[in-house]
Amino acid sequence: MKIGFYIMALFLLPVSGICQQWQGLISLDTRTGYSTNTILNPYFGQWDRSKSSVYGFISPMGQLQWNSENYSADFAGVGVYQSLFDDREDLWGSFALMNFRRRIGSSWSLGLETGGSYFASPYKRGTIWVQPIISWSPTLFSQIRVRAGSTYLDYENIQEESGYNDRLDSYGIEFEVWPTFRWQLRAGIYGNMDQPAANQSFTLNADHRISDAIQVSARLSADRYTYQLIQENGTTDGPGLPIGRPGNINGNDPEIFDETDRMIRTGISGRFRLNQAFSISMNLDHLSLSSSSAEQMISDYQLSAGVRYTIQPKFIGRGKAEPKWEQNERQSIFLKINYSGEGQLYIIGDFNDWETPGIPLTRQSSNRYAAQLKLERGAYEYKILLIDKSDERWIDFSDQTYTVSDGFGGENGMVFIE
Amino acid sequence: MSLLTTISLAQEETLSDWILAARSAGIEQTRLDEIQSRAIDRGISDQQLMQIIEPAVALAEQNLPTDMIFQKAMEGMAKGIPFQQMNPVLQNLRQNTESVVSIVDPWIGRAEVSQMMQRSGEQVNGKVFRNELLKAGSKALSQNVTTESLKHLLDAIGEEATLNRAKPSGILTAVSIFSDLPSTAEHPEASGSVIARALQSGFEADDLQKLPGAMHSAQRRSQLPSASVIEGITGQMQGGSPASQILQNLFNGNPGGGPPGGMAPGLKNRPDRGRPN
Repeated sequence: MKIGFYIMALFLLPVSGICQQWQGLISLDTRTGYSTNTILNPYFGQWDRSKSSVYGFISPMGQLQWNSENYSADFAGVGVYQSLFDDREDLWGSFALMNFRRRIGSSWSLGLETGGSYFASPYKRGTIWVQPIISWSPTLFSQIRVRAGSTYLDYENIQEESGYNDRLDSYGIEFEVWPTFRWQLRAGIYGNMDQPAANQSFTLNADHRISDAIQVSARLSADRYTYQLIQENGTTDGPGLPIGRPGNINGNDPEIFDETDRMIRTGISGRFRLNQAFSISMNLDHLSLSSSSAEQMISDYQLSAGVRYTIQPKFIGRGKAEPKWEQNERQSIFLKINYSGEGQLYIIGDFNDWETPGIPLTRQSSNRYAAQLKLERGAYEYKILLIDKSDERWIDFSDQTYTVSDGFGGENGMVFIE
Repeated sequence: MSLLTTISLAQEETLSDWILAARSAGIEQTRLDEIQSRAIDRGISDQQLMQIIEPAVALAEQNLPTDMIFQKAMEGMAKGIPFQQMNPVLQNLRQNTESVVSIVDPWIGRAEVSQMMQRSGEQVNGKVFRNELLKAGSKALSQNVTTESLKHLLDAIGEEATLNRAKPSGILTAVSIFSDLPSTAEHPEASGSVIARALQSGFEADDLQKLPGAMHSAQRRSQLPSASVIEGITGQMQGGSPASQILQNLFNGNPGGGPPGGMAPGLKNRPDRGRPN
């Protein structure tokens, strides 16, 4: 019921605005690596160090970003298929994320992050989470975010025919700063609201852009989990009692021991952009776990390399035009316009003294029009006129087009010819 | 309204008289014929046409460019703008041009500007450059930019370090985009400085055209105030980032540069970020 309420509340939030902009990204990630514990594998998120193995995964991702004057939102959908090159089952699944933000002042904003995931292999794991977020920028290029919310988890181990569902209420305090334009530093403290002192996690990330094409990142996280072990008379429940722990002298009542696991994860990665579409990456992660109950130190690592293919589709509102100007050495100007709609398009402006209907554009494909103009150096204002049968109207420009006010309450496109 | 034009208005009472006065002031006959023809097509009366021509005559008598008056009038006619709405815009253009000439002419007269014109390799003659700069400056004033802010912009652009790298087309674009930057209304001096810095950093005309849209995008996506956006751009420019990279960072909502902003957290490096296991 609560989940339904959260989701309904999410869609009731106002999302209207002026000057709206959309941006999108589609990518395909592939990676191959070797790990000694599957919790270090991307997406797997499940502790299994029974075997060390090579793994590979492929992951398509779609991302959509929207913003208006005081609102912005990110949507992301990810699918994943991961294979372990041994006798263990493959992993497949997907997850979706949505971030919604509203600016409430020059340095404050309110937001909501929500999402859900489903993964399956030897187990089935489904989660839904909702986290309201408050962000504050105390100085230029620094931001503090406080988040708190609930995660609903449904887990089923198919092989052992066991499972559970649970709700986890957690909080996070994050700090982000750009000390210089090439460095981004992030830190975060996360914990469980039911037992704030019992389970905590601290993360530190540093991203450094060496050049336009090369970026390196380093990360460190320290997790602390506290739990209880129960020892029945003459038996132990769990991996054994620590040395020095007092035994059960009476031999009747069960004894409860507080235990603590501490895990430190470190990692470095590098990304090299080959061109606008392709980038390659390398990652190295290490994990060490100190468990008071097991009285041992566990150490694992993973090493991987991958390729990412990214395309950024253009979003042009239906009925809007996006002109592209190209110039050759002979002052011939080639104008191409992306426009989706019926009718004949004309360009009119300073260069033809605004004489209607203007210079006709030739249709090259279903949404591509073009014209060739002879223009001298200078700045020119222009409009696109649509004539469809007896109907004449000016076409709006896309958000990416450079426009200026026409002084009459409308706007003109503007181009500079060098 | 200049004294000369006031006298002219009193003296020229018919359209024919006005056409003659315009010719005497140096306005081409073909221009006058064209606007007269358009006015007839649009049902504009002789009296109204006289008022449309009047600001152009006033500018011509001061040796100032008149083309933008004619173009704006013909634009208004093409768009079906009523005369009552069109006339104040034309009068405003005239006043702005008269105001801006007192800033532009001394600036163009500087030796460093002449050297820039000669060095740039762009074959723009001095008169065309002056007229285009007056046009751009006049439009900036009509977008609520003050003469002081415009003067500051030109002073910033006129520094040796800027003129050494700038071209005439870049300077014209710089003045044209000035009023469109989201920071200009609140921080005109900072806007002027960032434009000058952009020219110093190698931004050319087509890069500068994208700057207003990129800054608007950065401000919306980053949720940072405009002063922060300016500081970020300046930092990137000082760091030597190329124009294309800076513009891309701004469109991504990352005024300070660095990794893309707004991306769903964790998708960059750790796809499994923070999700409960």
